Amino acid sequence: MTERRQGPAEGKLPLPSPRSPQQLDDKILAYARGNAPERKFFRQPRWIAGLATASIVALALFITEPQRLEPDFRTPAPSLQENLPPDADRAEKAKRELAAPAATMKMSRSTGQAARMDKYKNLADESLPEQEIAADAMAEVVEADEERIHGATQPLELTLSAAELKKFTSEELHDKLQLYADMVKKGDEERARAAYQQLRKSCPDCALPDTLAQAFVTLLETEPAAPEIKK
Amino acid sequence: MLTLINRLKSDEALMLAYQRGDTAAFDCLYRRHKDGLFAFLYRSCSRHAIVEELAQDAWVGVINSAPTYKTEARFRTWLYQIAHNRLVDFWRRRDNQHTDLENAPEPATAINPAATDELARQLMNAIGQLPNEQRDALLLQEQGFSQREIADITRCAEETVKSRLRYARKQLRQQVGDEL
Repeated sequence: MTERRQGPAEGKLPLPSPRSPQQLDDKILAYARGNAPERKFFRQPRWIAGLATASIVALALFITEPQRLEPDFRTPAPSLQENLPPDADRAEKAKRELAAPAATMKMSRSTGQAARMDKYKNLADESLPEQEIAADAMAEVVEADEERIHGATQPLELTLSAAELKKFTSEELHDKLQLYADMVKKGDEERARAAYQQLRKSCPDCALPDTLAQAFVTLLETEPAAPEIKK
Repeated sequence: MLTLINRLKSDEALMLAYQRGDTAAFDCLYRRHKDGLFAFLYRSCSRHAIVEELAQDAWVGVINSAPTYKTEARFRTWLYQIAHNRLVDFWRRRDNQHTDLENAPEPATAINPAATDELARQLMNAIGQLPNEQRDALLLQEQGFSQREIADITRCAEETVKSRLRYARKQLRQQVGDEL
């Protein structure tokens, strides 16, 4: 076993430790300030912009997607006319012609509109010519508004949603059948059949008979004068 | 306030801040290491004029390399690596010029009071007689670097560093051992 002699401890040698002179410090710091890399406040990687765009798109999809999948109850359901296949155009046309209540409603609306216009025109007649012009303009505006409002809802029967058509009450069905019966009586049997078939399609839950004749027998049997129909 | 925050930052964080153009960060970094580096260079050369030149070269190297600085190693290791390279270049120049700068008289104004101490003077003489590689290893260890870090700075194997340190301390013991 060899004897190990104790040497000077590491880091504890009494060596001179001169300080850096001020003149050198100033020189080096001045050089550092003069040659400092360019200051970049908003240094961002290039992919930041892409990531931000993708995030915004993802957020927009996240917000809009549920609305597209689950239609809001406040938004109108798609019209029946839009859902109909091309083959149903003829039947739809017949139904539109047979939509007597809607026609009546339109008539009543037109009557009200005409009354309001007459009122404005009467006011104009009683006043000065300038006011007459103003009244005419107002009447035109009212007319345009009425047309816009009622025009959109004019094909009332046709724009009923499938959900609404399912809500036919027995009385309504009865009225419709009565209407078809009147049509048959008037000799318009073909249109009555088409309208009935359309009614069946639009209300699959109503359990309507297959043919108009069967419907007359089953649903209008209580009526004293159910019309006879060719089979 | 900014200076206080900088004082709490690591060397690497300060260097990265300077890389982004923050000169105050470099000020803090420089003040943190300037005296240690100057002492290391002084113990290697013992000549104030040369030490100032070497220190300036080392710090200019740091400033010029700032844009490409990466935190792959400790800043302090990197700084002393640059300083060591400057020292090696200096020794090569000296050997090629066949001049003995260390024997030139030291200006009176540059004499450090510590150097006037007898023991320190003996130690400096003993260290000055060591081979360059052993002297570097010993002085770097005095600066607080581990053997692994010394190996990184001097670009040699860790076992080589161990060997150099062993020989350097043995020689110091032989010369001034009784005084220590």
